[in-house]
Amino acid sequence: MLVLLKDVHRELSPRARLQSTRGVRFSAAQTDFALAGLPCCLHGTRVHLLAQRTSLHWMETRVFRCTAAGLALAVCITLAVWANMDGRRATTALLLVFGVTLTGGLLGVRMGLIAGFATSFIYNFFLSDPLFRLSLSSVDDLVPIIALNLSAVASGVVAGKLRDRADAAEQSNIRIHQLLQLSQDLQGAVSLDEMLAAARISLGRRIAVLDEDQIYLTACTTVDCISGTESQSASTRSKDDFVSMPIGTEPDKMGRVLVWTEPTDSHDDVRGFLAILSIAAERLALSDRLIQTDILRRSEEFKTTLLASVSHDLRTPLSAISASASSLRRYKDSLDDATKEDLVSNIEEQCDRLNRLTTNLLSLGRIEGGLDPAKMPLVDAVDALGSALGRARSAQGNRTIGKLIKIPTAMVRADAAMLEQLFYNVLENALVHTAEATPIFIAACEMNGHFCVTIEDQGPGIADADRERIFERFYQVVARRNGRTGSGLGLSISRGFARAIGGDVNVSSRGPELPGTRVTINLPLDSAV
Amino acid sequence: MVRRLLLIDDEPAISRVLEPVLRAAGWEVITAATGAAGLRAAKAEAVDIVLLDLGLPDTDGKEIIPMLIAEGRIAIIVISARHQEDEKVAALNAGADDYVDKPFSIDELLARIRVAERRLTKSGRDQQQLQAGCLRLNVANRLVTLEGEPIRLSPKEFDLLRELIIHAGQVVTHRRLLFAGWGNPSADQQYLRSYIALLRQKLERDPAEPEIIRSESGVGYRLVPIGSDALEPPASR
Repeated sequence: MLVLLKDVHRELSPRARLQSTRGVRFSAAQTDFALAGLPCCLHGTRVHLLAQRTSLHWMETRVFRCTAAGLALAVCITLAVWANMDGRRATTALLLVFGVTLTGGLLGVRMGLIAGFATSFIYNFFLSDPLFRLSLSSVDDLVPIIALNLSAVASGVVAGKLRDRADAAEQSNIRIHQLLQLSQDLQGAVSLDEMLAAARISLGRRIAVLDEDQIYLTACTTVDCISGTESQSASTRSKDDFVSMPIGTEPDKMGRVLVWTEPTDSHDDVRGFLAILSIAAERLALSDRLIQTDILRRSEEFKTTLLASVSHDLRTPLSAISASASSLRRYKDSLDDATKEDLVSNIEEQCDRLNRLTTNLLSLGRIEGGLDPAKMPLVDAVDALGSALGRARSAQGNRTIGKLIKIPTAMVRADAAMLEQLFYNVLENALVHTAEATPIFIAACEMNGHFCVTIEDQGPGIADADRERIFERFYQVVARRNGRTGSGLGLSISRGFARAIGGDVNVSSRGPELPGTRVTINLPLDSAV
Repeated sequence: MVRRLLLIDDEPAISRVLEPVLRAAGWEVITAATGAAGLRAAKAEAVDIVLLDLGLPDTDGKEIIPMLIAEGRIAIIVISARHQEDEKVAALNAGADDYVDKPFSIDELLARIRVAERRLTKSGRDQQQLQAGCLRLNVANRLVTLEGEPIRLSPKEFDLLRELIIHAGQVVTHRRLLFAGWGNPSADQQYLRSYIALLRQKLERDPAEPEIIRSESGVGYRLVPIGSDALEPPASR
């Protein structure tokens, strides 16, 4: 979808137009770029520094200089006429030469030359004898006349040349400033849109970036010339008014930069700007690629760590199962019944462990994939807590679990299975890491619109340094009890899931003097209920 | 003679299986869940074989291998769920005799234990007559026979085969073979590959599918004795 930009040139003030005819670039910031209802990034942007720099001091303007040169020449001629009436010929001649030099100095070679010829004519015709004729009264007059004419012309030319050089130097100075400013602006740009906006403000020209397939890369780059379908909005441009340059080196081209030019633009300037633009675009493209590679690398690293840990965690129960099964087959005659029974139950338990690990891995995958609580059904967290408790009790045998649940229902937006897993993982953690004889306490209540569950144990507690780390994936605290080991995933999954639905899981000590750990689960209650 | 085996593994499920089975196989089994406990046990009693898990809660299993060796004539078999080759090589270089990957079958583990035990009871490397299955090697006159047939080997091939046959049934790292053949453990492995290929040409029935000199990818080679008096070959994984 392409929209035509208004012609920048027509929007300019006469003064800016005057400057632009001198080849000085102008600010396009004040011009209205918004057309066809499309917002444009340039609308209302700041007036650029470059525009202030290129607006000239009043003494430097062409109008001032023309006026000054005309006045000086007029005064000089008047004085010369006056001196001539007194018969002071040398003064007359010197005044005329001075006037010509001034004109040349102010207006350049061409005007200096014209002034030189004009004063020669004035002197010959009006001032020298015979008056009102170009002929000479005597041969003696010939030498001063020729000398005067030549010196008038010569001084005009020399002074004019100096002027032209100064102008050219100023021009190139402005150009260098512009290029510097542009490259500074482009350095700061972090996206193609920003880069194009900065370049447009600096240059006052339409600019576009095409990718390798000649498709516009930026949405607010609004040009229709290339596609060939001229829009109905007045386009005064022909297809040939733009110059383009490839981005990146030949074998690895990333696209092209296009600049629409004005008839007054010098080709070299445009190429220079294009080169800077193309380098800036290349820099952006490269940094973009770098970010992409970096993201890829990090996700690869994560996958590698995950795979290494998972394969370790899978192999351990697998090797117990494999060794138990092969022992039962091979040594069934030499093993007593109790041992055989134990090997079978070991196989069962390790299968259960593998199953839990798989469940946790699937949950992890779902959390990693991103969960949207708004799309989840309303479920009763009290109910989920109840089933998690039931599972934990049957898995952990005769442990004392005290509970105090103060609300009958707690509706939260969550996935029922994952909610149960959240509670189960925390409960399992508390049971696995504490001695058989110690009890576990569970309390649940409503607090500030949250369903708040605390699970307290009287185990050895968690060192301060480990308190946040236990939520990291695959982090396991050394102490292991009851022959049950975790995968280092449970708590990280609990927290990941709680956070995904807007809640949290935290761990603290039960109190300064009390042994054990308190885990607090907070889940936002659905306000609609 | 009491044969003592020390199992250092923090995984209760593993010791729960191995303890009764190894006991049934005639071993006195001591278990330890940490590296420190394992070292204490090795100091307290004369242990013949150590089964060592690398991922211990208090230390990396590799760290305690030299300390275990210092306790006397001990064969160390590493059991690990870490399947990275560099881990295995590091453990073997540290002085472990062999390794078994988790998960393993009990037969495979017992076969490795038997090989390690046999090596311990042998008088050592300066034996004059070495034998592995139907392969015999006389160190004094540098004579090699396979099923009674003499085989001509170059001096380098002989050195490599001797190193492999000394550790018959166990893995021998590239490093150790390079040292045996070239006196330089960091020599180019390409040399080793070509000499192993030559040995296989002379010993194997089908060099493309070697039965005697097996590759342990990334780690080294294992000479598997076949024929009469063969040790049980490790079950293929």
